Amino acid sequence: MQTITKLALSGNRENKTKSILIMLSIMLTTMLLTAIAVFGYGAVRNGQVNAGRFYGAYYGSFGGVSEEVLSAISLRSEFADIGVNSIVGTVQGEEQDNLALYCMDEKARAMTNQAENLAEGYFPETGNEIAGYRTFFQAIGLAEPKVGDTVSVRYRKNQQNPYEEAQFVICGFLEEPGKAAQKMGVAFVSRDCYESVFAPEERSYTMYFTLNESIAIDGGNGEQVIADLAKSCGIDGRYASDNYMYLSLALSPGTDNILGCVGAGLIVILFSVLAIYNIFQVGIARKVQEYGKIKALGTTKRQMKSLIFREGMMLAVIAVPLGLLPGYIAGKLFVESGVEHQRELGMESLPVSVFSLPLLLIIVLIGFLTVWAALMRPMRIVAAISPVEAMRYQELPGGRRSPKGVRKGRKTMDVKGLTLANLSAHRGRTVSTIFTMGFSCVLFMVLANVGGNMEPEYEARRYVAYGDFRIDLDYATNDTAYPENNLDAVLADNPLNEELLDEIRQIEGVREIRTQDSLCFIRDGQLWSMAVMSEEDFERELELGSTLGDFTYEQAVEEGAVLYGWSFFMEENGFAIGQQLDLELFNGSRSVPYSGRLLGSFGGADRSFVITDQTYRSLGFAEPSCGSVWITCERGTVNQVEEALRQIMAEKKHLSLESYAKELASCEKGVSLTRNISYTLSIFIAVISFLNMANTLITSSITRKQEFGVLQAVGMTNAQLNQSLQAEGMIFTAGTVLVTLLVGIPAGYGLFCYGKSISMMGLHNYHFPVTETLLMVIALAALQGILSFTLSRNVKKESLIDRIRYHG
Amino acid sequence: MDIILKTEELCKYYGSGENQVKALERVNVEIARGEFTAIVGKSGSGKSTMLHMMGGLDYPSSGKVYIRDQDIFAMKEDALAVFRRRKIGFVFQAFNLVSTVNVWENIVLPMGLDNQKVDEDFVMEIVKTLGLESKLNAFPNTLSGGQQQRAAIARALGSHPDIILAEEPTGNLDSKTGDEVIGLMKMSVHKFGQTLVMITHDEDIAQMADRIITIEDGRVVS
Repeated sequence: MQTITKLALSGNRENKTKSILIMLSIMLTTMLLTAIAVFGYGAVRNGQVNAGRFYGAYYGSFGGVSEEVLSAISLRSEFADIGVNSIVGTVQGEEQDNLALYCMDEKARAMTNQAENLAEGYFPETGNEIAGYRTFFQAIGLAEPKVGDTVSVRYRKNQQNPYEEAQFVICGFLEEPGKAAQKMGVAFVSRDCYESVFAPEERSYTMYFTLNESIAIDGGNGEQVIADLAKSCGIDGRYASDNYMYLSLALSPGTDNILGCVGAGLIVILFSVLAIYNIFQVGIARKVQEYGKIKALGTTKRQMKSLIFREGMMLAVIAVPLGLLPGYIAGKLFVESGVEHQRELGMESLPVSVFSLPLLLIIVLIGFLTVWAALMRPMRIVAAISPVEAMRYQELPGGRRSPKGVRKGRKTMDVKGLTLANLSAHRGRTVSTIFTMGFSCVLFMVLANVGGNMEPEYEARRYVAYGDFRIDLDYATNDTAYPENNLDAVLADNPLNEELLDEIRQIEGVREIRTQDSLCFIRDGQLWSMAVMSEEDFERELELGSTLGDFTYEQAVEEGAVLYGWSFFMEENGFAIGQQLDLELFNGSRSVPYSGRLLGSFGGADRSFVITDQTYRSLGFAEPSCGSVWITCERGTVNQVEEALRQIMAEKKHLSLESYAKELASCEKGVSLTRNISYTLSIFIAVISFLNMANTLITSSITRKQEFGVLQAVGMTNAQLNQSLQAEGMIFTAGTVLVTLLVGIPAGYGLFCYGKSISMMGLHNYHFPVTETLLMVIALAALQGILSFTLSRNVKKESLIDRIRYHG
Repeated sequence: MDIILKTEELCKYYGSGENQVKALERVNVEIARGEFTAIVGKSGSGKSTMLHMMGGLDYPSSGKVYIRDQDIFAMKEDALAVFRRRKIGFVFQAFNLVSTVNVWENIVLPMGLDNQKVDEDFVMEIVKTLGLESKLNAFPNTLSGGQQQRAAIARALGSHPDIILAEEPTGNLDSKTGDEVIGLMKMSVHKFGQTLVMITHDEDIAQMADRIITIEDGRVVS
């Protein structure tokens, strides 16, 4: 076997070009696979590690849990950890309403990330200790609260009891939250305090929990599992909710991510196998005679297979490790850029290590398996070589057998004719090279059709539909812990009132404001939001696509119909087109009965349901019930208006501000991240395929060295030789571009349409990705030109007479 | 006498110092128009090197080659290539036909490279003379050695060159086919008014020439 190894080694040394190209292909393949795997692993790990930080580290919550039920639940084996939170009372403030006292135990604080909000001191442990936001204390009249200060708080435990004053000692402060303005009026007291206020039978908790490992739960079944559990614990299903994001990210094994990475990995492997196989195949065909001689000396089939296997594996042993490090670095950079993007969205995540030895070992294994898969056919071919036939084999450019039979031919034969004749004589090789290269560019083209059509402006307009800013009601629909945050309560004390709108109008730089009314209703115990849309809003929402059902504004007005807001969730939430809905619509000041048909669904409106403005008026609602405001500024005043808006909003609760500029920047970042990843992947695959094409041309030029010599002897000039090589390269390029356009454009358009139908980031108007296509053609032509130029220089390095005498 | 090809003090050395090999040493020959000249010599005597110099395929260490009073090595590389395809026809021992095109296309190739209009009647006459009519659409590798060499001769004659340079044209052929090919070649150059310079180590074939130049150790001895 040592002889076989030596033969394999000398085979690789003898054909350095082939060896280098194969090693480059293997290296790039390993690099890509490593980058994909590290990125996928990083994304999954990031989700697992940071899910708790972003969404709270609990599986679900039950509201309205009595002391008795809580005791019973805590004995059940299904629950692993339980944390509780309860409202102690509402507080009377000097400037601000809706101040509240809560009692939250340590576990609940840890699960809801409240513990991390502690900026100074500690959470209440005993007696009359209190910790809260500074704004809470300021709202009850303490201008500069300090830890250790005694504070007098007027609160009442429910609406049946009058306000009473109690003395507390400040033991800690919470960090002022950025966006969640509704929690600024909150303070926490000790369990002692809670128990002293509420008798055991009066106590009611919101419990947060995690479940025992034996319970199979993840994002997919979380809602059902928790609903079942609530039922078995005697909890009303309306007060049970799952922490979907945490369950999906921390407990599901990142199925989408993994599937995406496996898909991308399989594409890389497919193209690599094709490229490595082609390079090997061309090399083998060149050496058929030599393999014949080796076989004639008595080498067995097994040894012949082993020879090829070792030739490939020797190259893989060098190339696979070389691809690992750059691949790891690339993957890590992609993960970091994703984390950076999250950070810009305000999701500060803990760093995760993307290093996994088992994963890297698996990649190494896959790298070798890829080479093995590419070698399978060449191994079979070499093993089947008959020594006599092999030695008679007449080698030709590209290693194909001599053309047999006749050729109709042309009356005259010039450089162009010669080039075409050469390509046509090796149709199989020409076509397979063009297709391998072409399909790798198809991948680029498909991704360019999607990536190139992502419009950050369009995506940003999903969030801020008009103008420069959007102020929206910041509300919940099932906040059992803080019911004052629910939409019905927010509408009842609507901060987006005429007074505020006037204030906004008067800000210097505000050119125009437009509003949209909001309503809500309760159905089967669940609170739902509803937007009131003008014709323009309605048409715009329709244009965003992903709708269900066939409907128009006029039809909705005529029928007085209602539309669902999120087509994707309509069925899941138990609604269907044509369904009759009898609702009690509430605009904050009064309720009006409504009865109408569900006409269809928008793709992703801001509210769960939509009715038209005309239906709204026909129901008898006359008073404004503003839910959203869009503000358009004069040129150059955006920053100043934003500052003024923030000042106005600082005194208000339940409002959120979104800026078009910020959304645009974030969308641009997201689009560019998506483009970078997909383009990099496809460019690398194209490079692997280009190596295959380079090999075909290099091998062709080496084996045709003598032919070129003879042609020059009979009068072909250097310029004509260059022309011939360039023409050959250009035909490969033109073929590649043709395949790419013919297959890539329909496939890309198909993917674009699918992406648009599922509201993929920024997909709206299709335009042909001219820039990407031009860049691809230029890159192909440039690479091709450089290759042809180098080849013709190499050919001319040897003297004419040496070339004429060259044999294989 | 109308001299069509002349060499002046033609030298070709390989290597330097003690390892220097003198493949050709001060060769002065003159070839007259229409003459059939055989260059004979043993293997390694320098006859192939001399033929390559005469055809501008290889560059001399010193000395000159004139074809129709034109110093061919004074020309630039591409100009020399153009000169070659117009004035010189080559016939190689290994035939050296282009394998991806058929026999006709091989024959008209030098004209195509020169953007010349193919004189089809003239080429057909050569084809008939050489007995290749039925093989025009065939790929070279489907032909016998003799047929391939005849196709190579047709290629050499097709563009009306002044001189045909043939390097061991019968080296890869059996003696019967070899005699036949030489006969055809002699007849063709005579018929088409061309000059033939052929190297061979076969004395019998050399005897068919109008003139024999013998070369030994790089020097012309007779």
